[in-house]
Amino acid sequence: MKPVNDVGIAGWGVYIPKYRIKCSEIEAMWGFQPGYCRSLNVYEKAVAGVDEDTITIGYEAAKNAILRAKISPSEVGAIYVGTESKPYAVKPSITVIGEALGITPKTLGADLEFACRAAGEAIEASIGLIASGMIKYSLVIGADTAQASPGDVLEFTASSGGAAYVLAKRGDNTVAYFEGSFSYITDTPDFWRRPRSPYPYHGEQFTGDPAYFHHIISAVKGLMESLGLRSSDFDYAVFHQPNGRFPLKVASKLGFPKDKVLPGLITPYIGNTYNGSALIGLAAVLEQAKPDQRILLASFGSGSGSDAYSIIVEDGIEERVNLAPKVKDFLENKEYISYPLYAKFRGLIEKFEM
Amino acid sequence: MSMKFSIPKTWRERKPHYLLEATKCKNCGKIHYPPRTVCDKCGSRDLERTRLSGEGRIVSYTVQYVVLDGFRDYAPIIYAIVELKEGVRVLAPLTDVKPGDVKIGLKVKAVLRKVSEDGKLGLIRYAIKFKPLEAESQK
Amino acid sequence: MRKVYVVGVGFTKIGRFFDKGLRELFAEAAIKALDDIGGENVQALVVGNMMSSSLGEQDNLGAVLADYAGLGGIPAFKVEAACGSGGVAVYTGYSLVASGLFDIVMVGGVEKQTEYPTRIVSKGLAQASDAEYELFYGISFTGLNALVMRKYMETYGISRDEMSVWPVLMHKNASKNPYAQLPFEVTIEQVSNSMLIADPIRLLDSSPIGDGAAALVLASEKYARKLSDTPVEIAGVGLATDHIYIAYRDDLLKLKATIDASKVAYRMAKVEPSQIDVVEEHDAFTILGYMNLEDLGFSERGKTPKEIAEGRFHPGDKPTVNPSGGLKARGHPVGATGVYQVAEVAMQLRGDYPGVKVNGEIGLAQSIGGLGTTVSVIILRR
Repeated sequence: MKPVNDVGIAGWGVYIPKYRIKCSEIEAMWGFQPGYCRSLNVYEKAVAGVDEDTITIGYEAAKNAILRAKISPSEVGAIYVGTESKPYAVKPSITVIGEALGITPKTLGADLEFACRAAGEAIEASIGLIASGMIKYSLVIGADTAQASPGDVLEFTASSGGAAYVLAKRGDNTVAYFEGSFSYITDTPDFWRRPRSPYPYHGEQFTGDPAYFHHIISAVKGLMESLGLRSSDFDYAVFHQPNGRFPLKVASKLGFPKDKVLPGLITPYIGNTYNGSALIGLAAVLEQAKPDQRILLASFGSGSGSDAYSIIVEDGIEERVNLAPKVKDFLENKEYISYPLYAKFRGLIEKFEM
Repeated sequence: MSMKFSIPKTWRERKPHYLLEATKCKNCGKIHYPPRTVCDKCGSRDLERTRLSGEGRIVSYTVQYVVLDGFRDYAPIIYAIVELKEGVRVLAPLTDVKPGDVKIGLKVKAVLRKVSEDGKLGLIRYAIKFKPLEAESQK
Repeated sequence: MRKVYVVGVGFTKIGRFFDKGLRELFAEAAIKALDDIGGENVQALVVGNMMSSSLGEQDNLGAVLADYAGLGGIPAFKVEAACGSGGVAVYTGYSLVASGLFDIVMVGGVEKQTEYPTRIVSKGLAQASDAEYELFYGISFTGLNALVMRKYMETYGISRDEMSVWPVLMHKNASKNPYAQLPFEVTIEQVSNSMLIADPIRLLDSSPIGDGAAALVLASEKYARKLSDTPVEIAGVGLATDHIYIAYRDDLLKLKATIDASKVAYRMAKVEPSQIDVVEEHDAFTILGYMNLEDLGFSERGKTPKEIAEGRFHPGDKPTVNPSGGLKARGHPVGATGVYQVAEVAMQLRGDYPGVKVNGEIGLAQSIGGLGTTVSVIILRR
């Protein structure tokens, strides 16, 4: 898909909670075979503090994105948060974020849900709104405090964090632009959560080939065909990262060498932040990219779908990097917690109302 | 269903709680947080809304172990009086910091956090809390 | 204005009385006060109370207590100023007699705190603070006082052990008070090592949660001598308020309302602090014990802990401070406390106080609502 007018990125920001639990601690807690999490290439994961949730994480990431975009919050014409961990089942998260950032009331806004790629859908919608001239800036947030049943393999990876992007018309304050995008969705039930269920169900092996790999490969191939590009034309490749292994595997299937993937592979150190996953990876790449470099971004959401984007870096990006905390800063600023504290923070301990 | 949090009150107070909205006297310039209707310094009723920076230093703090009903999850809670750049003082909890790392004079900034929940089904209250600025900004 | 006298007093022991409610507690104190004036009828009742509404689900308290104390039908109402309710009730009762509206008025104070676990009682007490900007965040009343205590210790360079002399003196005084909730002595080591409640405030820095009731009978000059052989004059009253949001105050280390209220009371009574023989002040926490003496003009800022360690304000000194044991050890039945204080000072001046005795002519009672948000100062003269 390619709009008549190019749309780009004016600012980006991430937020990763400071708390970490080592995957080896979860392994020992539930008696998994030692080395299980290493097989997933995940070593520790970020845990939201007791007073954090998708709203507060999304707010922090968005604040950083607005700082880098150097705009006034009131200039934002659309705000979206893609998440599968809304604090309220009914009642938008984005209104709290928008109000707290000083963006409301003259703006579009919605919480979007499509498992881990809802924020990808928000980027597409924003490109349409901006390219058509309906709005000047859009703020897209991907944030989650991912749920996992204690003792499920998902617990090794399901983590908390988020990323946010301020989008604008190319040349209008942008530091990178979308050269093209391609979305691909089918009804593939690899992972879901029913209403009133606290934790998702998933198909374990089934989340791989028919879901993650098929959708990402289809979207990326579709993108490259439509733009007439080959994998060698890209300087970086960022994929949704449910664990540390899948992105490397899908890269090799698509012909991307490991060194183009590693700069944006963050999951081994923070776990899978769901809607934040690929977008935090992209932020890490933007923080080291040079003008004219080309970046592949491919999201994935269970259920299932993928969006692939080709992004060209523009002049002026370097001077935006230090306007807000970088991915690297969040990776370094961490505090390890025990399983009991993690259980309290994530609300895994059921208390009676007293 | 029991409801402990007033819906109108939670709504009414959102701007002071979310983004430190204060009032400023158009006559004498005094800034008031929480917002006021009448300036306590000069008596003027001509006030305008203004937003505070959210950056400041700790004037005093306490680590509260005996918590009120509904706050056990957050214990111990560190509360501080923070003097913002504008000279206005705000009382709020600190977050993402250990009791041993807090001291008078520490530089902090405001962040939005969850304050409390009306049980599992009711409203969630969000408001600013303070967290320490990064180590390199402490000078 | 007419002169007003304290002619009758009565109060209950302070404690955790699971078998007594607001009505039983108050009736006990009221009967003692009525007996003290030979069973004469009172014309109106003013009651100080904080939490009958939040913890007791009882509003309209004046009527309820008048009825159950056997005073049925007279004008009666509750006065509320958080923990300072008792002092404001005395202030109100004084006004009713001084104005000439009534000649004989009962001023009562009653609090029933022990109906619920601590976390719920603490919430009720914390309603003395700013509901929307302090209580909103879950800070307790102890937490607010702890912010002030830390600042005091830091500003004046006072150590933990140096702070601990206040509870030691209060417990020593209370050990001789048959009505005290905590009539036992403690050491500096025990205070300094007691459980942390809200750092730096520890358990033994804090007044206990307790139930109690007190009653006074106030009378005009015309009736004072008829009702009592030893009437004590209310020579001065002062009441002042301050910003409820403590962060809004310019100086955390003074309670401006105490300074303002005491100035009015001293002027009205035409006395200086140096003339006061006995003080009952509102030491809900150790830090307030010291700050109150500084705000009332009895000692210099930041020097009070040292002075007390050297014997100042102990029994025998002028003034003797909190011979009852204070809120710290006599106890602090919140809305009743201010009435206890005036009753205790009146008994000291008339010579029949049952605990540590002070031989003197002029006494002062200070009662605080919130953290210095409402302060009353009442000066009595024999």
